[in-house]
Amino acid sequence: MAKILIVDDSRTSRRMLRAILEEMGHEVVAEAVNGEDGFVKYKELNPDLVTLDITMPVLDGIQALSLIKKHDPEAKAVMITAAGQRDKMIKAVKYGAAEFITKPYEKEVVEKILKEVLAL
Amino acid sequence: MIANIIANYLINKGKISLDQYYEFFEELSKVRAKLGLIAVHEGLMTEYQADTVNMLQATMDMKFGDLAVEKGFLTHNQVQELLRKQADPYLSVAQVLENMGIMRLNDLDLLMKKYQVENEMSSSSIEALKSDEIDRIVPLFLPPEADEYVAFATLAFKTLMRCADNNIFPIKGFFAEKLDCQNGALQFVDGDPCLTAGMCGDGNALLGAACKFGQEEFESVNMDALDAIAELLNCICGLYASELSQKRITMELYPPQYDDTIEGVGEYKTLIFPMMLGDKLVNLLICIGEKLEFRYS
Repeated sequence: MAKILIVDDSRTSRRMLRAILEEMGHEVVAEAVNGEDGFVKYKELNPDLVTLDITMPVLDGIQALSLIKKHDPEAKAVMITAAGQRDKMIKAVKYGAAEFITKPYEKEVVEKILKEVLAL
Repeated sequence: MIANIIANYLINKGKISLDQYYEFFEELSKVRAKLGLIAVHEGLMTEYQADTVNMLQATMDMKFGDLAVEKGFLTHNQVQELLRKQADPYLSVAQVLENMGIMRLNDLDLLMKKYQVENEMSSSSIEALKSDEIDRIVPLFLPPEADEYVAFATLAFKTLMRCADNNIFPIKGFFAEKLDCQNGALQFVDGDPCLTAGMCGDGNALLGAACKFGQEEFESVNMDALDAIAELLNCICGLYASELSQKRITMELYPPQYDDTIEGVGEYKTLIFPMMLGDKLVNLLICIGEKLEFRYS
């Protein structure tokens, strides 16, 4: 099972996602509360996959994705977004995001997307 | 939602006890309006005729509709039409109140007339309420000059109903430049025009919504509970931005803010849309064209 880093400024969102990932048998190696914190922890822990909330303070998910991809072009990143962020999703694809998950989380959707991305 | 409005009106008027209030909702989930009650409501039968058929049913193994046709009270076509109306939300409420021995349909109709007068509503507004359609109901509770707020308010109300508390009903909204409250969450959404949305309350008013959406048993409205409220607000704003994107309007969501030590929110023209979530008063805030901030003492 995969080692995953969750980057999200919302405690509620991190908690919900962690519960789903751990139920799937993955190991959540760390949580980060903004993009800057996420980038630091990514370099330190080198996870198999990182989930990045798009809307975050300090550094948002796309800025963090850009840094992570420069550091590790093979990084697998799944963007987390509220609905209605189409432009940001397009931008994230340009920076190399593997997939998107829309909040609120639906367990089946999370499972399906993670399986697909981890199989890449 | 008509069930929530009526049940709360009844309890406020002292017509039912708290036990009856809870029993009402329990019964409502099980009950479909009976054909006789619908026939009386539609003016196709008198209460006496419906009671006669009900009494005959006690001695004959026949359906209400077949008996009513046999007695010449209804035609086959009328019975078919009544069967189609069995899922009517207002009539289901009426059926539960009748089953509980609280009031009959005529009394409920009179009660709704009283509610109409007290709330200065038109007859068409009362019909909209009885329809139980959120898109028709929410605008009834917004001020007349709130047209551009209706879409967000309706979407927020539906999302709260789905994700926070099914036992929700609206209270008359109003415009104000500031609102006093003890805790809450705000989210700024940039675009043309920009918008700030908020959910605020006093004490533990937001607790139920935080627990339900956050799937966590918070003990009070602390910062963790408000984080859940902020996420709920984020979902509402996201859905709103999504709707606008279909019209090629781009909105950018900013991270929500939340705090449990505030004095209020201000200082721009804001639609305050109060609602009862369970038995707690919660305020939904919508400010179009400005960025709202918390106020501190």
